[in-house]
Amino acid sequence: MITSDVLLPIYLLIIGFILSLILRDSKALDSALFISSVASVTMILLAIQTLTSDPTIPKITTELQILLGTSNLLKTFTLSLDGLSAFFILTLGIVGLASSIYGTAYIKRYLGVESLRFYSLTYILFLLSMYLVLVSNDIVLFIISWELMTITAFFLIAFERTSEVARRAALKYLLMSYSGSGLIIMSLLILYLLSGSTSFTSLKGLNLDVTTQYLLMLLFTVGFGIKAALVPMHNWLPDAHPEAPSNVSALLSGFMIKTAVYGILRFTISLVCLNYYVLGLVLASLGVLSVVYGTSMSIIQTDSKKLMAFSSIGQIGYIFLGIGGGLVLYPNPLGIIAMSAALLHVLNHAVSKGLLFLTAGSIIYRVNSRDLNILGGLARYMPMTFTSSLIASLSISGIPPLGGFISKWLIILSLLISTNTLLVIYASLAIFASVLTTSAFIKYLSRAFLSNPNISSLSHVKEVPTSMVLAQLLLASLCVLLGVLFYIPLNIITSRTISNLVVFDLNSVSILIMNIVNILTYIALLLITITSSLVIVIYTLRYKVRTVPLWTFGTKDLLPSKLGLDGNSYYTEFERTYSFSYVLRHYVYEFLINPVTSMFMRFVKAYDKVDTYLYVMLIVITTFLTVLIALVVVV
Amino acid sequence: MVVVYLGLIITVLIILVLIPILDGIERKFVKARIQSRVGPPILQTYYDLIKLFRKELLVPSTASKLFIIAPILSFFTSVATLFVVPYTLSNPLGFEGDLILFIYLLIFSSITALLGGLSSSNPFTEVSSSRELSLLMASELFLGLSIAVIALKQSSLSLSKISSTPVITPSVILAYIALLYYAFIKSARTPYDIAEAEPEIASGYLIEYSGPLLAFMILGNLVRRYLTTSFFVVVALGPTVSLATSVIPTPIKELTNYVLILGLSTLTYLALGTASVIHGRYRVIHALDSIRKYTSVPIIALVLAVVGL
Repeated sequence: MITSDVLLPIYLLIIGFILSLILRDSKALDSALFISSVASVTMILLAIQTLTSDPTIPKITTELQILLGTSNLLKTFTLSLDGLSAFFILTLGIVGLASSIYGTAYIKRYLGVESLRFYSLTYILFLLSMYLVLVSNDIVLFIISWELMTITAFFLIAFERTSEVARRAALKYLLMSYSGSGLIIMSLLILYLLSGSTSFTSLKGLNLDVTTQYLLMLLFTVGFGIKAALVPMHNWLPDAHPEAPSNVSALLSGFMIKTAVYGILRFTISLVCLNYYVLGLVLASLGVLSVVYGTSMSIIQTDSKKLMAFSSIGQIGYIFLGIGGGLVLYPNPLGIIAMSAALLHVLNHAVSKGLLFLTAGSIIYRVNSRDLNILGGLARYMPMTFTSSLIASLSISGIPPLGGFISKWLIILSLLISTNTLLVIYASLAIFASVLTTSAFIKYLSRAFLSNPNISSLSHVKEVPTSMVLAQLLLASLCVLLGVLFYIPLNIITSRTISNLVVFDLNSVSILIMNIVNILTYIALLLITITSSLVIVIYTLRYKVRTVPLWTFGTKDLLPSKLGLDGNSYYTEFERTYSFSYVLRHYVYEFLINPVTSMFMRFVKAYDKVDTYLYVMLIVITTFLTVLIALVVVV
Repeated sequence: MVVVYLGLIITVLIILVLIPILDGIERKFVKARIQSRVGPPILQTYYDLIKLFRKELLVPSTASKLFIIAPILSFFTSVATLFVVPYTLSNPLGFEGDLILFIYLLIFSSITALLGGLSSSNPFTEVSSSRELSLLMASELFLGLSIAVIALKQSSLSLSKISSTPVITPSVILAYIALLYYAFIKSARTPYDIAEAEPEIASGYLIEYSGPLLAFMILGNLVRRYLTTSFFVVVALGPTVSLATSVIPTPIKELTNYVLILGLSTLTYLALGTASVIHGRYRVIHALDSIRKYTSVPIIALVLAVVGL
């Protein structure tokens, strides 16, 4: 019964792929997105079934046969589903569902401009590849699906082919991702050479000497770090994520960068036991660097989606800070809590950041702008979009009782009381960065929804279509639910996912969790507070409310639109006072990031005259040939 | 259990009733005295609030529903935050990490107020929120570092545990001084009231508020001011108080603690009020600059804590 379930989303997505090949523009899109929604639901169900089933049942494995082109070779790959993959599949399912529902209306704005069939094909392949990355139990299948994910994401980022910016961003992404996946392939080949088998199962318990361990650690950290956009390797993300269609941005920021988290957990912790302490220190340091850098950059952005993209770097930093800190503290139950909280943050960030990208998409859909300098005043015209972006912003800023609070609170708390000096300092910087996140998203809310617009008229603006509102409300309600009922996912993550990774004493962790659950009294108190204030508001509204014009010092010359702040000048004073951190950033850029990027960009410039797409197809074909050759050699 | 909850509610209610009177005392005996005025009666804040609650509800034409929800939510959240602080130095509902919950609740309450102001679309609210958030960011770096010192030295972040275990080392004392300054910044009194500066930006985020909604905003502000002050008192002076009262038997001990903490909070509140009266308002850049300069205090404390002092 269970065996066939793992294949169900794959079959569904393949059907969707064939359907969108047969059908034309609009119909192809509808069928593809409908089938990807169904596939996402099956993923969610599958994940929940795995996570709640009896842990003593051995992990589910099943076989997938792929016909390879060369010499009628029928290669059998095993797929497996354990607590770790199931948790990530749950996240993928949730973001995929919302993004697919949202896309049915949103992508129609490209009708007649871009090929919707092309979108449907790549979108389905993108979902499929991410699913395969999570369930593959074989090095070769992992590499193939990882490469497929990279390439389809490239096509989705460059979907607006007419835009020069989008094409360049996509190319930058592709080049950086390829160098990352090159490192990953290299390390996987080392593992293959050492174990003699491509199956993950044979990698478990592999004896490695110290040099190989550190080599693998370096390769995996840089390779997956590029995909995760950890700070020195983050440069592609702020360009690429804003350029994709918004529901794809939600998937990219909400899920794709987390496949790197999965990769790190799977290869460096679950399969190959590297030195936990050193690995933890490296991950936590990169994490805290990303936290501070990403959030402090996000507050000065004026492009709504770029602001969110930088904030994604910060939030992925929180995740790695939790995982790294957990590994440093390892036998200590606090470390287990930190790792569970980091995984909970994967889910929370996926939900809230996915939702934020969707709301930015809704603004683009109605006003066709993402410039925070000219937007404004949309709250009255798009109340549902405003409400959902308010909830998502509060959740990502870590405001109780929403989801983001719990995971951030747990990461910070477990690192602070660990009395490990370095981790305590990291955690105090994380507290600071969480306020930066708050400021960045208040700026987004204020400049996009609340303040006065600089564009002439908003009277034609109305709420986005029902499917888009539904997708937003789905994620918004999850933001609230994950905060109020946090102990259910937290317990499941600790007992089913983390126990798959490391060995620990469940009893001492449960005692800690019991103490943590005491926060529920306060969450209940807060819920009572919120409900009672809403009741008071409803009671107040029954009385007569007099509407008055806005007060501008009694003159007509002081036009509201000229008095306010634009997106550029929101935090100028802060930026100026704390310029040392921004100056530091400048030097990091000059000496660390720019040389690497300019190397890539020189490469791009050389091919500037050639049609980008031709060039990319060349890369695609070469990669597939490489993988095929590798396969033939391996088999 | 019911008794415990009832006790907690009573302690919080007493504080809630006292807060406007405390403001009245500050206005009469600190501000007016220093400025050589007669000053308003002690109950003036109550009179103001009662007058505001009787007024009509005015809502600007450009406002969204958030305009009405925010002040009430902000006030109630700050009241809920009062339940986190252990005024009797032992909180039956306390748990490991309630100190961080306290910080986030405080941020929640103040940004709700900001969002309410912003939802009126008045451009002055934008200036105000930009100032308030810049101040928040700067002061939170301050706070984060001080908390790191306390966490390193106490290895616990439960408010009741911190407030009842005395640890006296140079680093912790410096961290306490930093917390006092944090309370001063967050109290939004004169040098740091740049977000609601009346002469410059016409009360900032409060500009469109009047009547009952303004009353809720003022109450929320007062409660937050009291919260940061008593947070300092509980964390920094609580250990000394608990050391002094440790010989007293249990039920009376908690009462004594409560009275002592209230007294010390009042004194600190008035002291901060005095410090504020003798200052003029900072310009935004100077406010941030001063905070940045004083951030060296928690940094030094952290360095001391790391080397083991």
